[in-house]
Amino acid sequence: MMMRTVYQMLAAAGLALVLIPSVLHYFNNIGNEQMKTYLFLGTILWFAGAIPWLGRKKKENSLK
Amino acid sequence: MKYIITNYYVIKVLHVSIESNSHIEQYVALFVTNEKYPYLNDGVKTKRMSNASSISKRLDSLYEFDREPVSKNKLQGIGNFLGMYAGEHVAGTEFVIGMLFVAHGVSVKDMFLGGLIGNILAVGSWAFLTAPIAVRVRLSLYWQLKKICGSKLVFIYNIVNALMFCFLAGAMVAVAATAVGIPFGIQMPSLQDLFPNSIGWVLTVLGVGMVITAMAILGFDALARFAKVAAPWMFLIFVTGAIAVLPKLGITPGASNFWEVARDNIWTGVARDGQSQFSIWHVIFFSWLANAAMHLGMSDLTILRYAKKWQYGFASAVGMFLGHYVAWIASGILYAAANSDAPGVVAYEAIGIAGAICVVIAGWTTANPTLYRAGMALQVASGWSRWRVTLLAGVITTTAAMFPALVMKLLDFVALYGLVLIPMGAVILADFYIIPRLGLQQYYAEQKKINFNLAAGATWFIMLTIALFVNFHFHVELYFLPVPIWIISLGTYILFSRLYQKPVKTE
Repeated sequence: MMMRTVYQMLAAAGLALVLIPSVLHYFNNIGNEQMKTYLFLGTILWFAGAIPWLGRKKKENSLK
Repeated sequence: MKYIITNYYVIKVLHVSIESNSHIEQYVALFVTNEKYPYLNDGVKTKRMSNASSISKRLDSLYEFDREPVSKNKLQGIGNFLGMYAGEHVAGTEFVIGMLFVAHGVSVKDMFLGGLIGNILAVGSWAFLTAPIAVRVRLSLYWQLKKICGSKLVFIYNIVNALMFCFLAGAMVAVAATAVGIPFGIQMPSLQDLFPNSIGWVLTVLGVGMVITAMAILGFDALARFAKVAAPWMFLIFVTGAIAVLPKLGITPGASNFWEVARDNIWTGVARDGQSQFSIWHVIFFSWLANAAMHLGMSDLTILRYAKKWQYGFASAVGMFLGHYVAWIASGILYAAANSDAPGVVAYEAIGIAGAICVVIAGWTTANPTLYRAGMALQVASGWSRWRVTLLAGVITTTAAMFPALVMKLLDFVALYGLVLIPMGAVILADFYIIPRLGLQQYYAEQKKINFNLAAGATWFIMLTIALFVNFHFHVELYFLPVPIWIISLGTYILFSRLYQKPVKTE
Protein backbone atom coordinates (compact mmCIF):
# COMPACT_ATOMS: atom_id res chain seq x y z
CA MET A 1 0.00 0.00 0.00
CA MET A 2 2.86 2.28 0.91
CA MET A 3 4.65 1.45 -2.33
CA ARG A 4 1.48 2.07 -4.29
CA THR A 5 1.27 5.58 -2.86
CA VAL A 6 4.92 6.18 -3.73
CA TYR A 7 4.32 5.02 -7.31
CA GLN A 8 1.24 7.20 -7.59
CA MET A 9 3.18 10.24 -6.42
CA LEU A 10 5.92 9.41 -8.89
CA ALA A 11 3.38 9.19 -11.71
CA ALA A 12 1.74 12.47 -10.69
CA ALA A 13 5.15 14.15 -10.67
CA GLY A 14 5.75 12.73 -14.14
CA LEU A 15 2.51 14.21 -15.48
CA ALA A 16 3.35 17.56 -13.91
CA LEU A 17 6.77 17.44 -15.55
CA VAL A 18 5.09 16.74 -18.89
CA LEU A 19 2.77 19.73 -18.67
CA ILE A 20 4.52 22.48 -16.69
CA PRO A 21 7.73 22.92 -18.77
CA SER A 22 5.76 23.76 -21.91
CA VAL A 23 3.85 26.45 -20.00
CA LEU A 24 7.14 27.81 -18.62
CA HIS A 25 8.56 27.79 -22.13
CA TYR A 26 5.51 29.64 -23.44
CA PHE A 27 6.09 32.34 -20.83
CA ASN A 28 9.79 32.52 -21.76
CA ASN A 29 10.98 31.11 -18.44
CA ILE A 30 12.91 28.18 -19.89
CA GLY A 31 14.48 27.44 -23.27
CA ASN A 32 13.34 24.99 -25.91
CA GLU A 33 15.99 22.33 -25.26
CA GLN A 34 15.51 22.54 -21.50
CA MET A 35 11.77 22.05 -21.97
CA LYS A 36 12.34 18.96 -24.14
CA THR A 37 14.65 17.45 -21.51
CA TYR A 38 12.06 17.95 -18.76
CA LEU A 39 9.35 16.45 -20.96
CA PHE A 40 11.46 13.36 -21.54
CA LEU A 41 12.16 13.03 -17.83
CA GLY A 42 8.44 13.47 -17.11
CA THR A 43 7.69 10.69 -19.57
CA ILE A 44 10.10 8.31 -17.85
CA LEU A 45 8.70 9.22 -14.44
CA TRP A 46 5.14 8.69 -15.59
CA PHE A 47 5.73 5.21 -16.94
CA ALA A 48 7.97 4.22 -14.02
CA GLY A 49 5.28 5.37 -11.60
CA ALA A 50 2.14 4.26 -13.44
CA ILE A 51 3.05 0.81 -14.78
CA PRO A 52 3.24 -0.86 -11.34
CA TRP A 53 -0.34 0.05 -10.38
CA LEU A 54 -2.45 1.58 -13.16
CA GLY A 55 -4.77 -0.98 -14.71
CA ARG A 56 -3.74 -3.79 -12.40
CA LYS A 57 -6.51 -6.12 -11.30
CA LYS A 58 -8.07 -5.28 -7.95
CA LYS A 59 -9.83 -8.31 -6.53
CA GLU A 60 -11.91 -6.28 -4.15
CA ASN A 61 -13.72 -4.76 -7.12
CA SER A 62 -14.78 -8.05 -8.60
CA LEU A 63 -18.39 -8.60 -9.51
CA LYS A 64 -19.79 -12.07 -9.52
CA MET B 1 -24.14 -19.95 -17.91
CA LYS B 2 -22.04 -18.57 -15.13
CA TYR B 3 -18.86 -16.63 -15.54
CA ILE B 4 -17.00 -13.86 -13.84
CA ILE B 5 -16.29 -10.43 -15.16
CA THR B 6 -14.43 -8.16 -12.82
CA ASN B 7 -14.61 -4.43 -12.87
CA TYR B 8 -11.03 -4.48 -13.95
CA TYR B 9 -11.75 -6.66 -16.88
CA VAL B 10 -14.58 -4.52 -18.02
CA ILE B 11 -12.58 -1.34 -17.59
CA LYS B 12 -9.82 -2.89 -19.62
CA VAL B 13 -12.22 -4.23 -22.17
CA LEU B 14 -13.77 -0.85 -22.49
CA HIS B 15 -10.49 0.97 -22.49
CA VAL B 16 -8.59 -0.88 -25.14
CA SER B 17 -11.19 -0.46 -27.79
CA ILE B 18 -10.20 2.35 -30.07
CA GLU B 19 -11.37 4.65 -32.77
CA SER B 20 -12.64 2.41 -35.36
CA ASN B 21 -14.07 0.06 -33.15
CA SER B 22 -16.58 -2.50 -32.99
CA HIS B 23 -16.78 -5.99 -31.66
CA ILE B 24 -15.74 -5.20 -28.18
CA GLU B 25 -17.17 -8.57 -27.27
CA GLN B 26 -13.97 -9.96 -28.67
CA TYR B 27 -12.12 -8.26 -25.87
CA VAL B 28 -14.57 -9.44 -23.31
CA ALA B 29 -13.92 -12.92 -24.62
CA LEU B 30 -10.24 -12.56 -23.91
CA PHE B 31 -10.67 -11.59 -20.34
CA VAL B 32 -13.34 -13.97 -19.24
CA THR B 33 -12.06 -16.71 -16.98
CA ASN B 34 -9.75 -18.81 -18.99
CA GLU B 35 -10.39 -22.09 -17.17
CA LYS B 36 -13.83 -22.06 -18.61
CA TYR B 37 -12.97 -20.93 -22.11
CA PRO B 38 -9.31 -21.82 -22.61
CA TYR B 39 -9.61 -21.92 -26.37
CA LEU B 40 -10.21 -18.19 -26.46
CA ASN B 41 -6.57 -17.55 -25.71
CA ASP B 42 -4.44 -20.41 -26.80
CA GLY B 43 -5.94 -21.36 -30.08
CA VAL B 44 -5.54 -25.06 -29.39
CA LYS B 45 -9.19 -25.80 -29.01
CA THR B 46 -10.01 -23.40 -31.80
CA LYS B 47 -7.84 -25.43 -34.12
CA ARG B 48 -9.51 -28.61 -33.00
CA MET B 49 -12.88 -27.04 -33.54
CA SER B 50 -12.01 -25.95 -37.02
CA ASN B 51 -11.98 -29.49 -38.26
CA ALA B 52 -15.36 -30.31 -36.94
CA SER B 53 -17.46 -27.22 -36.95
CA SER B 54 -19.18 -25.06 -39.40
CA ILE B 55 -18.45 -21.34 -39.58
CA SER B 56 -21.64 -20.67 -37.70
CA LYS B 57 -20.66 -22.97 -34.85
CA ARG B 58 -17.20 -21.46 -34.69
CA LEU B 59 -18.66 -17.99 -34.52
CA ASP B 60 -21.07 -19.00 -31.79
CA SER B 61 -18.25 -20.61 -29.84
CA LEU B 62 -16.21 -17.44 -29.89
CA TYR B 63 -19.11 -15.47 -28.55
CA GLU B 64 -20.69 -18.21 -26.49
CA PHE B 65 -20.09 -16.61 -23.13
CA ASP B 66 -22.21 -13.55 -23.85
CA ARG B 67 -25.11 -15.25 -25.53
CA GLU B 68 -27.42 -14.13 -22.71
CA PRO B 69 -28.30 -10.50 -22.02
CA VAL B 70 -26.13 -8.83 -19.38
CA SER B 71 -27.60 -9.48 -15.96
CA LYS B 72 -28.26 -6.72 -13.42
CA ASN B 73 -25.35 -7.62 -11.16
CA LYS B 74 -22.89 -7.08 -13.98
CA LEU B 75 -23.96 -3.57 -14.84
CA GLN B 76 -21.27 -0.93 -14.55
CA GLY B 77 -21.24 2.56 -13.07
CA ILE B 78 -20.82 5.75 -15.05
CA GLY B 79 -17.13 6.03 -14.04
CA ASN B 80 -16.17 3.04 -16.16
CA PHE B 81 -17.80 4.55 -19.22
CA LEU B 82 -16.24 7.96 -18.68
CA GLY B 83 -12.81 6.32 -18.36
CA MET B 84 -13.32 4.12 -21.38
CA TYR B 85 -14.48 6.88 -23.70
CA ALA B 86 -11.74 9.23 -22.49
CA GLY B 87 -9.02 6.67 -23.18
CA GLU B 88 -10.46 5.31 -26.37
CA HIS B 89 -10.64 8.56 -28.28
CA VAL B 90 -7.15 9.87 -27.66
CA ALA B 91 -5.32 7.63 -30.09
CA GLY B 92 -2.81 7.60 -32.90
CA THR B 93 -5.45 8.70 -35.38
CA GLU B 94 -5.80 12.04 -33.57
CA PHE B 95 -2.27 13.04 -34.59
CA VAL B 96 -3.22 12.66 -38.23
CA ILE B 97 -6.78 13.97 -38.28
CA GLY B 98 -5.96 17.34 -36.68
CA MET B 99 -3.11 17.77 -39.16
CA LEU B 100 -5.23 16.89 -42.15
CA PHE B 101 -7.87 19.46 -41.20
CA VAL B 102 -5.17 22.13 -41.40
CA ALA B 103 -3.92 20.71 -44.71
CA HIS B 104 -7.47 20.78 -46.11
CA GLY B 105 -7.74 24.48 -45.39
CA VAL B 106 -10.24 24.44 -42.55
CA SER B 107 -10.72 27.98 -41.22
CA VAL B 108 -10.44 28.79 -37.53
CA LYS B 109 -14.20 29.33 -37.18
CA ASP B 110 -14.92 26.08 -39.03
CA MET B 111 -12.57 24.16 -36.77
CA PHE B 112 -13.88 25.43 -33.45
CA LEU B 113 -17.57 25.78 -34.32
CA GLY B 114 -17.82 22.86 -36.74
CA GLY B 115 -15.97 20.58 -34.33
CA LEU B 116 -18.28 21.63 -31.52
CA ILE B 117 -21.45 20.97 -33.53
CA GLY B 118 -20.18 17.69 -35.00
CA ASN B 119 -19.13 16.32 -31.64
CA ILE B 120 -22.44 17.29 -30.04
CA LEU B 121 -24.19 15.38 -32.83
CA ALA B 122 -21.93 12.38 -32.23
CA VAL B 123 -22.68 12.38 -28.50
CA GLY B 124 -26.38 12.71 -29.30
CA SER B 125 -26.19 9.71 -31.63
CA TRP B 126 -24.63 7.59 -28.89
CA ALA B 127 -27.08 8.78 -26.25
CA PHE B 128 -30.32 8.78 -28.20
CA LEU B 129 -29.80 6.00 -30.75
CA THR B 130 -27.30 3.42 -29.49
CA ALA B 131 -27.65 3.52 -25.71
CA PRO B 132 -31.47 3.12 -25.47
CA ILE B 133 -31.36 -0.08 -27.55
CA ALA B 134 -28.28 -1.32 -25.67
CA VAL B 135 -29.87 -1.03 -22.22
CA ARG B 136 -33.15 -2.58 -23.29
CA VAL B 137 -31.76 -5.55 -25.20
CA ARG B 138 -28.43 -5.88 -23.35
CA LEU B 139 -26.95 -8.07 -26.06
CA SER B 140 -23.67 -7.65 -27.88
CA LEU B 141 -23.63 -6.50 -31.49
CA TYR B 142 -22.83 -10.01 -32.63
CA TRP B 143 -25.86 -11.65 -31.05
CA GLN B 144 -28.18 -8.79 -31.93
CA LEU B 145 -27.10 -8.98 -35.56
CA LYS B 146 -27.29 -12.76 -35.60
CA LYS B 147 -30.89 -12.75 -34.40
CA ILE B 148 -31.84 -10.34 -37.16
CA CYS B 149 -29.55 -11.32 -40.02
CA GLY B 150 -28.53 -14.92 -39.50
CA SER B 151 -25.06 -16.40 -39.11
CA LYS B 152 -23.94 -16.27 -42.75
CA LEU B 153 -24.64 -12.58 -43.09
CA VAL B 154 -22.93 -11.88 -39.76
CA PHE B 155 -19.96 -13.88 -41.02
CA ILE B 156 -19.67 -11.65 -44.11
CA TYR B 157 -20.02 -8.60 -41.87
CA ASN B 158 -17.16 -9.89 -39.70
CA ILE B 159 -14.87 -10.40 -42.68
CA VAL B 160 -15.55 -6.90 -44.00
CA ASN B 161 -14.85 -5.59 -40.52
CA ALA B 162 -11.60 -7.57 -40.37
CA LEU B 163 -10.31 -6.02 -43.57
CA MET B 164 -11.22 -2.55 -42.35
CA PHE B 165 -9.39 -3.25 -39.11
CA CYS B 166 -6.29 -4.35 -41.04
CA PHE B 167 -6.22 -1.11 -42.99
CA LEU B 168 -6.78 1.00 -39.91
CA ALA B 169 -4.00 -0.85 -38.08
CA GLY B 170 -1.88 -0.28 -41.20
CA ALA B 171 -2.38 3.46 -40.91
CA MET B 172 -1.21 3.30 -37.31
CA VAL B 173 1.87 1.24 -38.22
CA ALA B 174 2.73 3.94 -40.75
CA VAL B 175 2.21 6.67 -38.13
CA ALA B 176 4.57 4.86 -35.74
CA ALA B 177 7.09 4.42 -38.56
CA THR B 178 7.27 8.19 -39.08
CA ALA B 179 8.74 8.44 -35.58
CA VAL B 180 10.87 5.30 -35.67
CA GLY B 181 12.51 6.43 -38.91
CA ILE B 182 13.74 9.75 -37.49
CA PRO B 183 17.12 8.51 -36.14
CA PHE B 184 17.77 6.71 -39.42
CA GLY B 185 17.19 9.84 -41.45
CA ILE B 186 14.77 8.15 -43.82
CA GLN B 187 12.85 10.17 -46.36
CA MET B 188 9.41 10.71 -44.84
CA PRO B 189 6.28 10.65 -46.99
CA SER B 190 4.58 13.95 -47.72
CA LEU B 191 0.90 14.80 -48.20
CA GLN B 192 1.13 14.04 -51.92
CA ASP B 193 2.73 10.62 -51.53
CA LEU B 194 0.33 7.76 -52.12
CA PHE B 195 2.90 5.05 -52.86
CA PRO B 196 6.09 4.01 -51.01
CA ASN B 197 8.57 6.82 -51.58
CA SER B 198 11.85 5.16 -50.60
CA ILE B 199 13.49 1.89 -49.64
CA GLY B 200 14.16 3.37 -46.20
CA TRP B 201 10.44 3.94 -45.67
CA VAL B 202 9.55 0.42 -46.76
CA LEU B 203 12.18 -1.11 -44.45
CA THR B 204 11.08 1.04 -41.51
CA VAL B 205 7.44 0.07 -41.98
CA LEU B 206 8.47 -3.55 -42.34
CA GLY B 207 10.42 -3.41 -39.08
CA VAL B 208 7.64 -1.63 -37.17
CA GLY B 209 4.99 -3.96 -38.63
CA MET B 210 6.99 -7.05 -37.65
CA VAL B 211 7.51 -5.84 -34.09
CA ILE B 212 3.87 -4.82 -33.64
CA THR B 213 2.64 -8.13 -35.07
CA ALA B 214 5.03 -10.13 -32.89
CA MET B 215 3.94 -8.22 -29.81
CA ALA B 216 0.28 -8.73 -30.67
CA ILE B 217 0.91 -12.47 -30.96
CA LEU B 218 2.98 -12.74 -27.80
CA GLY B 219 1.35 -10.36 -25.41
CA PHE B 220 -1.93 -8.78 -26.35
CA ASP B 221 -3.05 -8.66 -22.75
CA ALA B 222 0.05 -6.88 -21.49
CA LEU B 223 -0.12 -4.40 -24.35
CA ALA B 224 -3.76 -3.66 -23.65
CA ARG B 225 -2.77 -2.75 -20.12
CA PHE B 226 0.13 -0.69 -21.39
CA ALA B 227 -2.31 1.25 -23.58
CA LYS B 228 -4.30 2.09 -20.49
CA VAL B 229 -1.17 3.31 -18.71
CA ALA B 230 -0.18 5.46 -21.69
CA ALA B 231 -3.57 7.15 -22.23
CA PRO B 232 -3.42 10.03 -19.69
CA TRP B 233 0.18 10.80 -20.61
CA MET B 234 -0.63 10.72 -24.30
CA PHE B 235 -3.40 13.29 -23.91
CA LEU B 236 -1.08 15.60 -21.99
CA ILE B 237 1.59 15.22 -24.67
CA PHE B 238 -0.94 16.51 -27.24
CA VAL B 239 -1.73 19.50 -25.05
CA THR B 240 1.82 20.24 -23.97
CA GLY B 241 3.06 19.94 -27.56
CA ALA B 242 0.55 22.54 -28.69
CA ILE B 243 1.50 24.91 -25.86
CA ALA B 244 5.21 24.42 -26.61
CA VAL B 245 4.92 25.63 -30.21
CA LEU B 246 2.77 28.70 -29.45
CA PRO B 247 5.83 31.02 -29.24
CA LYS B 248 7.11 29.66 -32.56
CA LEU B 249 3.79 30.54 -34.16
CA GLY B 250 4.03 34.05 -32.74
CA ILE B 251 1.41 33.76 -30.02
CA THR B 252 2.48 36.05 -27.21
CA PRO B 253 2.24 35.18 -23.49
CA GLY B 254 -1.34 35.82 -22.42
CA ALA B 255 -2.59 34.65 -25.80
CA SER B 256 -4.13 38.01 -26.62
CA ASN B 257 -3.29 37.49 -30.30
CA PHE B 258 -4.30 33.80 -30.38
CA TRP B 259 -7.30 34.18 -32.72
CA GLU B 260 -5.40 36.44 -35.05
CA VAL B 261 -2.47 34.01 -35.35
CA ALA B 262 -4.81 31.03 -35.52
CA ARG B 263 -6.61 32.65 -38.47
CA ASP B 264 -3.46 33.70 -40.30
CA ASN B 265 -1.02 30.86 -39.54
CA ILE B 266 -2.89 27.75 -38.40
CA TRP B 267 -6.41 27.29 -39.74
CA THR B 268 -5.97 29.64 -42.65
CA GLY B 269 -9.01 28.63 -44.68
CA VAL B 270 -6.76 27.82 -47.64
CA ALA B 271 -6.06 24.21 -48.59
CA ARG B 272 -2.46 23.16 -49.13
CA ASP B 273 -1.29 22.07 -52.56
CA GLY B 274 -3.08 19.00 -53.84
CA GLN B 275 -5.62 18.95 -50.99
CA SER B 276 -9.35 19.48 -51.43
CA GLN B 277 -10.88 22.53 -49.75
CA PHE B 278 -12.88 21.80 -46.59
CA SER B 279 -15.78 23.87 -45.31
CA ILE B 280 -17.54 23.92 -41.97
CA TRP B 281 -19.82 21.18 -43.30
CA HIS B 282 -16.84 18.88 -43.75
CA VAL B 283 -15.78 19.47 -40.16
CA ILE B 284 -19.30 18.98 -38.80
CA PHE B 285 -19.96 15.78 -40.73
CA PHE B 286 -16.50 14.33 -40.17
CA SER B 287 -16.60 15.06 -36.42
CA TRP B 288 -20.07 13.58 -36.19
CA LEU B 289 -19.29 10.48 -38.24
CA ALA B 290 -15.66 9.71 -37.38
CA ASN B 291 -17.06 6.99 -35.14
CA ALA B 292 -20.21 6.34 -37.14
CA ALA B 293 -19.55 2.60 -36.97
CA MET B 294 -19.86 2.83 -33.20
CA HIS B 295 -23.02 4.92 -32.83
CA LEU B 296 -25.08 4.88 -36.05
CA GLY B 297 -23.53 1.50 -36.86
CA MET B 298 -24.44 0.24 -33.37
CA SER B 299 -21.08 -1.38 -32.59
CA ASP B 300 -21.18 0.18 -29.15
CA LEU B 301 -24.22 -1.88 -28.24
CA THR B 302 -21.57 -4.26 -26.98
CA ILE B 303 -20.20 -1.71 -24.53
CA LEU B 304 -23.33 0.17 -23.57
CA ARG B 305 -25.22 -3.02 -22.73
CA TYR B 306 -23.34 -2.83 -19.41
CA ALA B 307 -24.78 0.65 -18.70
CA LYS B 308 -27.28 1.04 -15.87
CA LYS B 309 -29.16 3.73 -17.76
CA TRP B 310 -29.36 4.88 -21.35
CA GLN B 311 -28.14 8.29 -20.22
CA TYR B 312 -24.66 6.75 -19.90
CA GLY B 313 -24.44 7.26 -23.65
CA PHE B 314 -23.62 10.86 -22.80
CA ALA B 315 -20.33 9.61 -21.32
CA SER B 316 -19.09 9.60 -24.92
CA ALA B 317 -18.86 13.41 -24.57
CA VAL B 318 -15.63 12.97 -22.60
CA GLY B 319 -14.01 11.11 -25.47
CA MET B 320 -15.38 13.42 -28.10
CA PHE B 321 -14.31 16.64 -26.45
CA LEU B 322 -10.91 15.47 -25.17
CA GLY B 323 -9.94 13.41 -28.20
CA HIS B 324 -11.94 14.74 -31.11
CA TYR B 325 -11.85 18.37 -30.11
CA VAL B 326 -8.92 19.27 -27.85
CA ALA B 327 -6.53 16.69 -29.37
CA TRP B 328 -7.50 17.55 -32.97
CA ILE B 329 -7.02 21.24 -32.25
CA ALA B 330 -3.68 20.49 -30.56
CA SER B 331 -2.39 18.40 -33.46
CA GLY B 332 -3.47 21.14 -35.89
CA ILE B 333 -1.40 23.66 -33.91
CA LEU B 334 1.57 21.25 -33.88
CA TYR B 335 1.32 20.76 -37.65
CA ALA B 336 1.13 24.48 -38.36
CA ALA B 337 4.46 24.96 -36.56
CA ALA B 338 6.18 22.03 -38.26
CA ASN B 339 8.19 21.59 -41.43
CA SER B 340 6.98 18.11 -42.23
CA ASP B 341 3.82 16.15 -43.03
CA ALA B 342 4.98 13.11 -41.04
CA PRO B 343 3.37 12.92 -37.58
CA GLY B 344 6.55 11.58 -35.96
CA VAL B 345 8.65 14.46 -37.24
CA VAL B 346 5.96 17.00 -36.35
CA ALA B 347 5.89 15.80 -32.72
CA TYR B 348 9.69 15.46 -32.52
CA GLU B 349 10.26 19.00 -33.80
CA ALA B 350 7.86 20.37 -31.20
CA ILE B 351 8.80 18.53 -28.03
CA GLY B 352 11.74 16.28 -28.79
CA ILE B 353 12.11 12.63 -27.87
CA ALA B 354 8.94 12.58 -25.74
CA GLY B 355 6.94 13.59 -28.81
CA ALA B 356 8.49 10.91 -30.98
CA ILE B 357 7.89 8.30 -28.26
CA CYS B 358 4.27 9.44 -28.04
CA VAL B 359 3.75 8.94 -31.77
CA VAL B 360 5.25 5.45 -31.62
CA ILE B 361 3.16 4.47 -28.60
CA ALA B 362 0.00 6.06 -30.01
CA GLY B 363 0.40 4.14 -33.27
CA TRP B 364 1.37 0.96 -31.53
CA THR B 365 -1.38 0.91 -28.89
CA THR B 366 -3.97 1.75 -31.54
CA ALA B 367 -2.71 -0.88 -33.98
CA ASN B 368 -2.45 -3.63 -31.37
CA PRO B 369 -6.13 -4.11 -30.47
CA THR B 370 -7.08 -3.44 -34.06
CA LEU B 371 -4.84 -6.28 -35.19
CA TYR B 372 -6.38 -8.45 -32.53
CA ARG B 373 -9.90 -7.70 -33.73
CA ALA B 374 -8.94 -8.45 -37.31
CA GLY B 375 -7.42 -11.72 -36.14
CA MET B 376 -10.61 -12.70 -34.32
CA ALA B 377 -12.72 -12.15 -37.41
CA LEU B 378 -10.27 -14.00 -39.64
CA GLN B 379 -10.06 -16.83 -37.15
CA VAL B 380 -13.67 -17.63 -37.72
CA ALA B 381 -13.18 -17.72 -41.46
CA SER B 382 -10.02 -19.80 -41.44
CA GLY B 383 -10.29 -21.93 -38.33
CA TRP B 384 -6.58 -21.28 -37.78
CA SER B 385 -5.00 -20.77 -34.39
CA ARG B 386 -4.77 -17.30 -32.87
CA TRP B 387 -1.10 -16.77 -33.66
CA ARG B 388 -1.52 -17.72 -37.31
CA VAL B 389 -4.46 -15.42 -37.94
CA THR B 390 -2.76 -12.57 -36.10
CA LEU B 391 0.29 -13.17 -38.27
CA LEU B 392 -1.90 -13.08 -41.38
CA ALA B 393 -3.55 -9.87 -40.19
CA GLY B 394 -0.08 -8.47 -39.46
CA VAL B 395 1.12 -9.25 -42.99
CA ILE B 396 -1.94 -7.54 -44.53
CA THR B 397 -1.53 -4.60 -42.15
CA THR B 398 2.19 -4.14 -42.77
CA THR B 399 1.79 -4.38 -46.54
CA ALA B 400 -0.95 -1.76 -46.43
CA ALA B 401 1.15 0.47 -44.17
CA MET B 402 3.86 0.79 -46.83
CA PHE B 403 1.46 2.98 -48.80
CA PRO B 404 1.45 6.48 -47.29
CA ALA B 405 -1.98 6.99 -48.88
CA LEU B 406 -3.40 5.18 -45.89
CA VAL B 407 -2.23 8.00 -43.60
CA MET B 408 -2.51 10.93 -45.96
CA LYS B 409 -6.05 9.90 -46.95
CA LEU B 410 -7.04 8.81 -43.45
CA LEU B 411 -10.06 11.12 -43.41
CA ASP B 412 -11.48 9.38 -46.46
CA PHE B 413 -10.72 5.96 -45.04
CA VAL B 414 -12.39 6.75 -41.70
CA ALA B 415 -15.45 8.04 -43.56
CA LEU B 416 -15.52 4.91 -45.74
CA TYR B 417 -15.19 2.70 -42.69
CA GLY B 418 -18.29 4.28 -41.13
CA LEU B 419 -20.18 4.19 -44.41
CA VAL B 420 -19.56 0.48 -44.91
CA LEU B 421 -20.92 -0.51 -41.50
CA ILE B 422 -23.76 1.88 -40.79
CA PRO B 423 -26.46 0.30 -42.99
CA MET B 424 -26.41 -2.62 -40.56
CA GLY B 425 -26.89 -0.15 -37.70
CA ALA B 426 -29.99 1.14 -39.46
CA VAL B 427 -31.22 -2.44 -39.82
CA ILE B 428 -30.84 -2.96 -36.05
CA LEU B 429 -32.67 0.29 -35.27
CA ALA B 430 -35.50 -0.48 -37.69
CA ASP B 431 -35.82 -4.01 -36.35
CA PHE B 432 -36.02 -2.74 -32.80
CA TYR B 433 -38.42 0.21 -33.12
CA ILE B 434 -40.32 -0.01 -36.38
CA ILE B 435 -40.63 -3.61 -37.55
CA PRO B 436 -42.80 -4.79 -34.62
CA ARG B 437 -45.07 -1.74 -34.93
CA LEU B 438 -45.80 -2.63 -38.55
CA GLY B 439 -46.83 -6.14 -37.63
CA LEU B 440 -43.66 -7.59 -39.10
CA GLN B 441 -41.41 -10.13 -37.42
CA GLN B 442 -38.61 -8.86 -35.19
CA TYR B 443 -35.44 -11.01 -35.10
CA TYR B 444 -36.56 -12.66 -38.31
CA ALA B 445 -33.52 -14.91 -38.83
CA GLU B 446 -33.84 -16.34 -35.34
CA GLN B 447 -37.59 -16.82 -35.62
CA LYS B 448 -37.43 -18.44 -39.06
CA LYS B 449 -34.21 -20.32 -38.25
CA ILE B 450 -32.52 -19.01 -41.38
CA ASN B 451 -28.87 -18.03 -41.65
CA PHE B 452 -29.21 -15.25 -44.21
CA ASN B 453 -31.91 -12.60 -43.90
CA LEU B 454 -32.24 -11.48 -47.49
CA ALA B 455 -33.95 -8.21 -46.53
CA ALA B 456 -31.02 -7.19 -44.35
CA GLY B 457 -28.38 -8.45 -46.79
CA ALA B 458 -30.00 -6.70 -49.75
CA THR B 459 -30.33 -3.48 -47.75
CA TRP B 460 -26.64 -3.55 -46.89
CA PHE B 461 -25.30 -4.41 -50.34
CA ILE B 462 -27.65 -2.14 -52.30
CA MET B 463 -27.04 0.82 -50.01
CA LEU B 464 -23.28 0.40 -50.30
CA THR B 465 -23.49 0.10 -54.06
CA ILE B 466 -25.57 3.27 -54.27
CA ALA B 467 -23.21 5.12 -51.93
CA LEU B 468 -20.12 4.17 -53.91
CA PHE B 469 -21.84 4.98 -57.20
CA VAL B 470 -22.81 8.43 -55.93
CA ASN B 471 -19.24 8.94 -54.71
CA PHE B 472 -17.57 7.84 -57.97
CA HIS B 473 -20.08 9.18 -60.46
CA PHE B 474 -21.35 12.36 -58.84
CA HIS B 475 -18.21 13.02 -56.78
CA VAL B 476 -20.17 13.47 -53.57
CA GLU B 477 -17.51 13.23 -50.87
CA LEU B 478 -17.59 10.24 -48.54
CA TYR B 479 -18.08 12.44 -45.46
CA PHE B 480 -21.57 13.42 -46.58
CA LEU B 481 -22.86 9.98 -47.51
CA PRO B 482 -23.28 8.06 -44.23
CA VAL B 483 -26.25 10.06 -42.90
CA PRO B 484 -28.47 9.84 -46.00
CA ILE B 485 -27.44 6.22 -46.52
CA TRP B 486 -28.32 5.41 -42.91
CA ILE B 487 -31.73 7.07 -43.24
CA ILE B 488 -32.51 5.39 -46.57
CA SER B 489 -31.34 2.06 -45.14
CA LEU B 490 -34.03 2.33 -42.47
CA GLY B 491 -36.76 2.65 -45.09
CA THR B 492 -35.21 0.08 -47.40
CA TYR B 493 -34.99 -2.59 -44.72
CA ILE B 494 -38.61 -2.03 -43.74
CA LEU B 495 -39.73 -2.19 -47.38
CA PHE B 496 -37.68 -5.32 -48.12
CA SER B 497 -38.91 -6.97 -44.92
CA ARG B 498 -42.49 -6.36 -45.92
CA LEU B 499 -41.83 -7.99 -49.28
CA TYR B 500 -39.63 -10.79 -47.97
CA GLN B 501 -41.02 -11.86 -44.64
CA LYS B 502 -43.36 -14.78 -44.42
CA PRO B 503 -45.49 -15.44 -41.36
CA VAL B 504 -43.64 -17.31 -38.65
CA LYS B 505 -45.41 -20.45 -37.53
CA THR B 506 -46.04 -20.36 -33.82
CA GLU B 507 -45.77 -23.69 -32.09
